[in-house]
Amino acid sequence: MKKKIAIALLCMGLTLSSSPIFSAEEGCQTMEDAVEEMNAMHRPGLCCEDAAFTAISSSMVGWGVGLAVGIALLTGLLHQSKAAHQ
Amino acid sequence: MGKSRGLILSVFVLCTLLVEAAPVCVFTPPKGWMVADPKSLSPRVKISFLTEGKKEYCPSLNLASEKADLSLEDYLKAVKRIHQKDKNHRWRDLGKIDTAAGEARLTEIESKTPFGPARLLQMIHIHDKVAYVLTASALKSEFAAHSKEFQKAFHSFTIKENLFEMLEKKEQQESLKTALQELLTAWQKSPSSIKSHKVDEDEDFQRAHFLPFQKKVVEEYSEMGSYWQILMLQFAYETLSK
Repeated sequence: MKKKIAIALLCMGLTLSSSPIFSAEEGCQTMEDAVEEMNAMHRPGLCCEDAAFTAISSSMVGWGVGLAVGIALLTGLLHQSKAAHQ
Repeated sequence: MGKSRGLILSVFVLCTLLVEAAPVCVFTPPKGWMVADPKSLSPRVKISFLTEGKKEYCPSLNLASEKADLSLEDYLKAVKRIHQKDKNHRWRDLGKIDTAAGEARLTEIESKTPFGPARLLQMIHIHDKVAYVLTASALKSEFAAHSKEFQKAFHSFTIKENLFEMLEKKEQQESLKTALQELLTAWQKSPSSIKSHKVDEDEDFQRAHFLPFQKKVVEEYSEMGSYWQILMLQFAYETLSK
């Protein structure tokens, strides 16, 4: 009987310790914070890589938009000229 | 009694927020540059500014940060390793640069783009286990035309406990704190603050109180630069939403 009570208490303790109640304690990290810390420890410098990538990609957004507008205009002109020939 | 209670409460809330807030880093972008769409930014990039006008490759300035429990030298070694793996990038260390936040390091990257080689300058500063990176970018052929603007932005980079500390004049600090306290008091009296706590849903409040505050920040604090102004308005909005 005592063994059964001890086993039941042990199981309860294991279950409760991994429950959301305990994850709300102060000092516990969110998953995002833990991932960021791991990245910082194992691969510092990602920030510079991100910043360089953003600098190049955002600088070229104007080019991408211009290209899309150009394609749309050309498509419209071709469509009109086809309609005029018919 | 009710009015003074509201004012005391707003002062208390403002002081608490200022004390709890993490250090703020700011730089002054060139006048007239536009803010890039936040959705287009990489995860660690806080903000990006692009030059006005349509160009195939727009000169830009962006600010990024990450946790880094390393010395500046070790951090630079890690950055060098990352960039040297990329065959499209040519990386080199240009040495020290002075900023308002203290000594930083300047590095250069040359990258191939469809429009020709692009030049990027990255100013790296480490403060309180956080690495801050300010990146300036333009086509190599156009870089000299923007060099002064980029240098000014690098030198203006500063880190303070809060946005108010960045104002040199005490009168400016007090005037802005008073305006923010009045905004907070007005919000606390507004029915929307009790019902939904959402500033967006109360157009009357926005017209009567928030827009005049925004106008004050934009017109009276223009010398602080657009990034500081954006952060101040964001701080005001978040203060009201708490």
